[in-house]
Amino acid sequence: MALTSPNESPAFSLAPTKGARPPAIAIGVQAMLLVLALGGFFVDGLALDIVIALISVFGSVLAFGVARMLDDRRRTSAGYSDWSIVSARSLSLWLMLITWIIGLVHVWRAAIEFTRVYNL
Amino acid sequence: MRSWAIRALLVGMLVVSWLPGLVGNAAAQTSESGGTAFDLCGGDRDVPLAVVLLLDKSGSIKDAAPEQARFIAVDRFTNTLLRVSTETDRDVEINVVLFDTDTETLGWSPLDSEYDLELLSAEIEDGWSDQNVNGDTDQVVAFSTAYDLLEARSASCRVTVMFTDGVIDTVNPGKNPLDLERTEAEACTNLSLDRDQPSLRERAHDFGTNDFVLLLEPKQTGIADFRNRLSHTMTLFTSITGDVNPPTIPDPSGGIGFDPNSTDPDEPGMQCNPKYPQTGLVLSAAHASELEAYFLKLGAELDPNSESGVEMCPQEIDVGTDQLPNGSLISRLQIINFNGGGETLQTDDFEIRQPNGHVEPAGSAFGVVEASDVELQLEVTDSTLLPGGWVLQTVDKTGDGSGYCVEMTASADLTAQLSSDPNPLPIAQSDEVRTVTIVFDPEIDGYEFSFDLNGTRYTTSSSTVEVLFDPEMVTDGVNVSGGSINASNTELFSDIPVDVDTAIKVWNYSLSVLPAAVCENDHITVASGEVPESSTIQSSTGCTVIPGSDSGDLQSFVRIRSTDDVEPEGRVQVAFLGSDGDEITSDWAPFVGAQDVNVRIDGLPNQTVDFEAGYLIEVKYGPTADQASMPDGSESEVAVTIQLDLLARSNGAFATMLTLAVAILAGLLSLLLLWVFNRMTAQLPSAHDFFFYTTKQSDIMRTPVGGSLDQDKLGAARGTGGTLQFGNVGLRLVHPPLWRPLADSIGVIDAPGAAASDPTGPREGTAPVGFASLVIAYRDGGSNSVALVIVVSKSGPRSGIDGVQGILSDRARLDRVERRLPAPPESDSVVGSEDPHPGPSAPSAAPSPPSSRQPKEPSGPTLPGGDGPRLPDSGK
Repeated sequence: MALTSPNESPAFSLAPTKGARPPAIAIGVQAMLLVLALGGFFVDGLALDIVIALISVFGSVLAFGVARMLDDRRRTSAGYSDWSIVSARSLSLWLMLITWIIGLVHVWRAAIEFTRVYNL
Repeated sequence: MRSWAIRALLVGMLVVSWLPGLVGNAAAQTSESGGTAFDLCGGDRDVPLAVVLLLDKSGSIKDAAPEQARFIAVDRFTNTLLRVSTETDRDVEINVVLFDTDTETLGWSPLDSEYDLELLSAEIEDGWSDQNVNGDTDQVVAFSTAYDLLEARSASCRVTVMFTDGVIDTVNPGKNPLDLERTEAEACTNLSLDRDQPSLRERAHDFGTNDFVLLLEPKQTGIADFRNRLSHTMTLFTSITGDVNPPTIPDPSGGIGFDPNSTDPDEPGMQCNPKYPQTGLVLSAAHASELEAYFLKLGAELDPNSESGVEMCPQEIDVGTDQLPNGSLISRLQIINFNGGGETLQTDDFEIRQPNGHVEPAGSAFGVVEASDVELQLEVTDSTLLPGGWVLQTVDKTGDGSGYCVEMTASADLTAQLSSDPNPLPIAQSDEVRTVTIVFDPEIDGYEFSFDLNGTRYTTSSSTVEVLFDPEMVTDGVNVSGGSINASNTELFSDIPVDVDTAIKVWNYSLSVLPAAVCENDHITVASGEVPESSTIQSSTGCTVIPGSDSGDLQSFVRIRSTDDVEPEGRVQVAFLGSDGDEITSDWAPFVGAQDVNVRIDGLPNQTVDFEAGYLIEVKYGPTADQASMPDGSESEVAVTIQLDLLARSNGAFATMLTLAVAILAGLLSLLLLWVFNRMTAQLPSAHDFFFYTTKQSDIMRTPVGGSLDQDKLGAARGTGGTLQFGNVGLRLVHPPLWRPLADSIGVIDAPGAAASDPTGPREGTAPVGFASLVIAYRDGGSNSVALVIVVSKSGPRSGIDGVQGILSDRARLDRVERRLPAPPESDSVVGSEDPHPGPSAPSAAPSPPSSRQPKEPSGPTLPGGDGPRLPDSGK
């Protein structure tokens, strides 16, 4: 049983209408969080590491949730058009994961500094 | 009584005459010359001195003095003898006779240099060692041998000195009393068992020998007694040389000592005196302190330079014996209780340091030092032995060097003790007193601190570190869990100890620094590299205390405080100079009054400083420019403690565990957040989540649902169930709009008109065939043929073409679907359809074989309508 082209004898009129796009702003926020997490490697300080760690770990999850929610809503609308290069959902997911992991690195840096400051 | 009798015999035997007027003359000569007066044999220094050392190597000597004690005793004697030689320019030769019941003679050798002394000491230590000490005692043989040796030295001033424990004769007296009798006879009655020779006394008288016994008291052990014996030894030999009066107030009641003027023949030790009244001396503990004190005073009055003519050293140290003549070798440093009971704190534990960096290690003080300006350092390890005033004294051995100066550094405590001495001798003091405080981990044992001092490494063991608790030292920036202690090293190093060889997590150190003139431009190099178990800090000069670390990151701050009673005034500047050109310099911080001053360095205090590149840390201290009230030199009264607290160590294991804990917690919270968002954002599958798969003969065509999904009805169906229609296919949603429940509802088959007549829709075939897949079967009204429209999500375990094939292979299910299909409509119209599209063209096409895999002859059930395409055979 071969799979034929979708355009071959379409059963219905399935052409997408005008379209919604992925939530670029939300995903952009995720990207900014990633940049922030990476930038934290170029500065030192216990407090700074802690702040960056918190933002990276929890902010990435929150931003991901928001992006996913917005994307879901848009996808339910007719004419939704995903990005061609990479799926918005995939991109959002990877941004979250990377940022989250970097946040953990900052947690480790903060822990190291913590042991120094408090002589643990 | 027997022992006293024996001792008396010993005295009589040993201290044979020819010392008439010696004591009195010596004292007079000493006072007249102001120098040393080793005036034996009438004070004629042109007469050579011939000394026979009689060393008792009988077995009992082990009880009297341990091996090292004997060595030191004889060493002190020979050192003094060498001094006689060098300071009086008198020829001295020495012979050693080791005796028990037999004798061993080492031979004559001159004694006029350190080299001679070293050779002699080596021979003595070899022959007098414990392994060679054995047997009984026969002093008669010993003295007889000595006199044999001295017989050929008729031109010399002849001296015999016996080291013995006072046990006269142990040749089994009970079994062989002749030995004892012989001893007595030889000593007192002028009898000799060997009638061919004169008695010992007669020979001694003929020779004019000066015979002395250095009595090592038997059956006494312990360092205190040993030291006492050393003092006795020293004093006795000094009495030989005429420097010391014998006790003028004897202690006959104590049974030790004797009155040289006594005529009582019954007094112990006096048996021989009636004939030779001033020749015997047995020193006992009862007289030790007086004699030692006298000797020390006499020693302090010695002025070797006056005799040697050596150019004076600079008056750096105000100690009587600090300036030694050419070739002087510092042999020993003594601290003797001047007022107490004769206790002596003596140590060989010091080092001689030369400006060229050469260091004579501790214990090798008898080595030859070739350079000038030797600096001696004494380590006082027990200050409790210093009550009542003490005298510092160096005992020098004179050689032919080029002159040495002795510098002594005394701690403040010692200085105070000395200053309280009612009759102190001048004491050497450094003009700077440094203390080192190190905060270390109390859980670590076995501290050993090494100090770099002008390029020389000094190491002290933990036993010399006085540990004091000073909570004030653990302050800002230093947070030590479990409590910390300060180890105050009060050793008398004149420079900065900065190398900590232990695994110290946090270390501070503070020390008193000197005035600006010394401290300026003082800097320390901090090495780069990874965090090691130990850190090394080097100071180019001796003023600054700068901690350092090889750590990559340091969190530091500087605290400067006054440690002096005076009101300090000044200012402080601290700079970190990076080898890469970076520099962090504080402003000058005013320093007025005895208070803590925090020196702020921009970018440094309480912040991390990267030391990877290596830094020079520079501390400058000096008076403020505008403090006119601060006269020149006043800063010399100010002692400032500079304390840098570093946090250079971290606990990787703890940090990792902490990170893991945080990671687990954060992960759980993140999952919770994701779940909440999932609940909030779960929606019906969108149009893009579905594809239509239509069977058309043997093919399956996939077409995105796309805009064909009626969004309005989709929305209306949420939560309530309803009918969606796209094309002419009615789709019933029977569950709330969640993805999974929708998937569970897959299989609902509806057809035009069915939704209206049966709102709940047929439930048959609702068993999931895949994640979010729909199966819709309908009849094409126009051709009365049957096609399947399968809507399958593009994700899920049975999605896509696999899902379609799975559905098509579910023959029983399709049968049920088929049975529930309504009869073919009469027309193409679809009830309830809002889709303007006329209907799928594919299903309306002519029936064709359902699948290429299907046999030509249909084996599956035929959909209603008879001649329509056959459903694919599932193989069941």
